[in-house]
Amino acid sequence: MKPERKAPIGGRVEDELRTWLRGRDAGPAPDRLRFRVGRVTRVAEQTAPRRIWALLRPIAAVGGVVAVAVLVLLAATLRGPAGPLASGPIPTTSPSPTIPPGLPFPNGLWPRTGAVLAVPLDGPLLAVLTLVPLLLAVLLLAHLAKRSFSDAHRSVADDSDARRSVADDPPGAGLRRMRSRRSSVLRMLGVLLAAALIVVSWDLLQFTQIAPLQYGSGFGSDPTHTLGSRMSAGGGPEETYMAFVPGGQLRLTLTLANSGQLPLTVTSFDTQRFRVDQPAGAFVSSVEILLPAGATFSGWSPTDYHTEAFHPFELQPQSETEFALVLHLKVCGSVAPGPTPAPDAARNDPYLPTTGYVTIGELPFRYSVLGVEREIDVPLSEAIGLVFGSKAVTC
Amino acid sequence: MKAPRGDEREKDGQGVAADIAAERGRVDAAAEFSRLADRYLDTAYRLASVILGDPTEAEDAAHDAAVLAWRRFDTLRDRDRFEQWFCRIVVNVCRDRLRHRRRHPIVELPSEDDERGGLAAPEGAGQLLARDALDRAFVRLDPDHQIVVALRFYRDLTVDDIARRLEIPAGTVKSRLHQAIARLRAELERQGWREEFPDEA
Repeated sequence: MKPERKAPIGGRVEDELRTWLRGRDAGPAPDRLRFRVGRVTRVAEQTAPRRIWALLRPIAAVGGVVAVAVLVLLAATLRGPAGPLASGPIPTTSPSPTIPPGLPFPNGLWPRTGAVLAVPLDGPLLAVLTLVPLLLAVLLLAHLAKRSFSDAHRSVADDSDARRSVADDPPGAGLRRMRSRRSSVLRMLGVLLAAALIVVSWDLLQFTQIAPLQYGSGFGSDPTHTLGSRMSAGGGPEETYMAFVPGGQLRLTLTLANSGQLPLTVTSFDTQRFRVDQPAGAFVSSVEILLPAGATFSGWSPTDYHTEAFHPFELQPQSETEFALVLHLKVCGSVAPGPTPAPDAARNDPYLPTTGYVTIGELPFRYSVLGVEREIDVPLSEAIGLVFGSKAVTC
Repeated sequence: MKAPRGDEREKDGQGVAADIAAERGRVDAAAEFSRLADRYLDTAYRLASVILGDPTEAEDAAHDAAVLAWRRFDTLRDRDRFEQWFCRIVVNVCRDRLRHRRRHPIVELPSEDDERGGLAAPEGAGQLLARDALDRAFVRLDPDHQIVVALRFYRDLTVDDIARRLEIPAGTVKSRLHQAIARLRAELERQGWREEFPDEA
């Protein structure tokens, strides 16, 4: 039970404080303090250790804020609409729907809206994610170093204390006196944690990949419409020409490879972007992609083993798969069909078209890695040229 | 052994001259620092003792502040402002020590009288007990509040002077003062003391 204290404090709190604080005044500095302070300039080095931190701290803070802001802005702005392909309106007459969705469309970063990153961001994003442990380790080590510097500076003050016989102390005795066993253990744990983070980051760095979905090694075209190939300076085919067949279809066997270190899922082919971006897109009414039904790629085969409708499929790291690309061509009134190769005629390589032609150099795919959906234009190892019967062509 | 060329000798001579000048500058700075520190040591020590309430700890704080001040002495352009600058360092050192105290508080055990309760204060001991109550209330304040109160009521500095010395806005000083007094008042009332105004006395 508290004692009853009804006595007044003596006046206003401010006045009492003034009196009481003056009562705490210890008077002039004692001689021993003057002696200690007099030794300061002889014992302590005149340095300004905080200058580096004073410079680095705002730079690090601003850099961190800018990095976070850029990432947030990129994530907020660089996203495009997505969803099952061919669900939107096709601008011109399309004889058949393009790629059938097959399986439910997998969720991307924003499952509610179905939006995906419209630029290839997963490469840099992935690189940043793998570097996070390394950055944490660097920050941790920097913090430990800063604390050590701080301890060292304070230990100088301790060494210069006249109440200690520092002459007999071994080097670093002041520092050891200042550090408790607990702080030493914590420091040791901090170093171990930093080392572990560096090891983790080193392991994760192997997963850094910028554009893992690439074209594979195989290429095949329907010989009944293939006119020949233009050769590159190195000797290999650079562009393969196929005759344009109004209202018909052209069939190619192509391959996709995963050159990265993580499995990826090819989720869809972007027909609309293909029609807009590729010069040949204006002559294509729809694109169909067929997957092999359990077969393995062995070059072009007249027997069609690509019978499975497109569905999202997984590509393991450092592996490749083939697919059939079927181009359904438009009927354009002013465009004459391309020259038809004679049956059983040998390829006329190198071939140079003498009439008008348009090319397909890239195939726009969407795929996901670690749940991050992205778009990419996969450059073909050989461009595909559609050769017409006349020089000037519009559709 | 190859003899140094004339320009190298000249360069060496310049280097030695620069070293001598630097050493002379350091010696001059040390002498000036010692003179200024000695001159304002009383002020610094007394301020530290008021803020910390412990003469021994105030000695250590003043000494630590002197070490820090010497380290940064070359950053002080205007040596006429040494007192304010040195006092700011003292205040910062005291603040660190107060925070350290809060992290490692010394718990006071209740006295036998407190446990028994009901023991009336002896005649003439009221003032002593009031100071003791103030001491307890002051220690419970935030270190920033303690410093502002000490500068205001011990050094009798104005709000603007405190703001200049601590390099914080005057509004912050006012707010801290207001909060500190309110908390002191509340703590004193909690301990059973009441303020006595002049017209009551």
